[in-house]
Amino acid sequence: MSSKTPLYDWHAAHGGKLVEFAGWQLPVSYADGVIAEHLATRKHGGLFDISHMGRFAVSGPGALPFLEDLLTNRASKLAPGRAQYTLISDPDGRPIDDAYLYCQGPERYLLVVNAANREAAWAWLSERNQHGAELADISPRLAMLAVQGPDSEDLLGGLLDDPLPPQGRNHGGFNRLGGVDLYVSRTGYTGEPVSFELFPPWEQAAEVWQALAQAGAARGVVPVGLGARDTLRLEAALPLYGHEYGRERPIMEMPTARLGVDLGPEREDFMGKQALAAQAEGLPQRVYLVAALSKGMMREGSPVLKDGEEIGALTSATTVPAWRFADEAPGEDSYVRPLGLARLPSGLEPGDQVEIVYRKRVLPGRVVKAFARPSGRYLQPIEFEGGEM
Amino acid sequence: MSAAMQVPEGLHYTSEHEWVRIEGGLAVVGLTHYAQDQLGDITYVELPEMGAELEQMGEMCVVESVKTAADVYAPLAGTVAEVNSALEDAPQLINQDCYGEGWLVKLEGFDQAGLAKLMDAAAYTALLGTGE
Repeated sequence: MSSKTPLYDWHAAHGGKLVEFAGWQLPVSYADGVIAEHLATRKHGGLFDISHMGRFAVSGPGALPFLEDLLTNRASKLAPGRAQYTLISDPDGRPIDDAYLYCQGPERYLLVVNAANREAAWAWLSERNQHGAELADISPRLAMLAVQGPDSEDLLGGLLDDPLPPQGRNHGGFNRLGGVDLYVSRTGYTGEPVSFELFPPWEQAAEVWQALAQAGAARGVVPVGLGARDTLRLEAALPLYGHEYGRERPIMEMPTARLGVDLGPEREDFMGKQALAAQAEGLPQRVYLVAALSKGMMREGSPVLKDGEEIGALTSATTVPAWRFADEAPGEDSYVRPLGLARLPSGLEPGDQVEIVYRKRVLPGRVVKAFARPSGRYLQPIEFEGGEM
Repeated sequence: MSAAMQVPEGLHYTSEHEWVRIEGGLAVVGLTHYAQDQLGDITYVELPEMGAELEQMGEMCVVESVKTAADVYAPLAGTVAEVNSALEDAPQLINQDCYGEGWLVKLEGFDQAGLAKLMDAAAYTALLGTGE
């Protein structure tokens, strides 16, 4: 029996194609489909129901030492109103989960974990609470919505009672929307330079969503399902647990892990520190970005070849839509391109030629630094035919 | 089966959920509404080469959706005279308008006799189990 988010009825009534995901009934897309939702997010904005994710409240005098012990990033760097990417490591430097930590006030933190790992992460953390932190799994009480994309700031600014959080990623604060108290943070999982996540109470999440959907519709900001959520995060080269990360993989294989692991001199000992420091010295494999140089298809599991020899496989991949830009903004034309993340031997460099095998075809590809780059308030696709990496 | 599944009159259908419309001397081929609905969001189409000679119910092209890859078969023997190149950058046209803008291939020199092996709208609707 799968769970329903507070927006289940809304999704069903608005053309959401509901599927089972990590024990939840969620829309894979709405009527216009994955490609249209991806493109709408990049040009105007998208609304995401992410209430399936796990949310743990961590508070009291023991909160900070608890978080410093069990998370890989340095929670003490966070002032109230700030957030950071972090991981939960085992002693061997392998991930229990990756997570986002929000500091909402003195001795008051919110830790967001993946839906599929909620129980495992909860068990891991609560069994290791040696500092008497007050822990609560508040997932059933607090919903989570995301508003992502270039017009999201205007959209939210027009609906919130109080000013938006300060400019710059990872800033947040308490606010009100249509009489509902909520927390608003400049974070998200789409790579959008302008992006927000909202945490309203479970019972009032549908009101907040309805207000966003209504005001968003006039601006081309649309509800987005799991399908485009995945193509957006892939285009932004963000890792997904169970694909780039896994229980048996060293955390530092993923380049973005370095954003969530603080091994600096000021960092006290923490779970997995020694193993992670050793991993940072070098690993036989790591995750690379691979772009195909011709039209075609590739999927997770597709073999990657170099000089005709199989060297690894794609951990995530699909055909991802993109706008052709004109004058620094998305134009009217779009195209699709195959993009993937791959676990390959260390030492590859951007520009290295590879090939990807899918069904009966072999696609020429290239290791690249990024698939897209922030450009003002847009995320602009990088076109690889022109020789960029 | 949704009652809203579209099965236009005047087309010929295969049991593999392709449709054919005879237009002048050409046979226009596409995926049925049921097929695109089952596949979900279509993200890539691998079209056949121009001039390719196809056999009836031989492999014609591949359609990829978020969920899966599906082989599409030629409803009639014939030669590929035209492919819908708009699908290369906008594969979602198949979801949006499978009997119109989302057509796949046009065949020339197609085998008229092969039409007899295909279903009309009523027979295809019955196959889908709407039981009209």
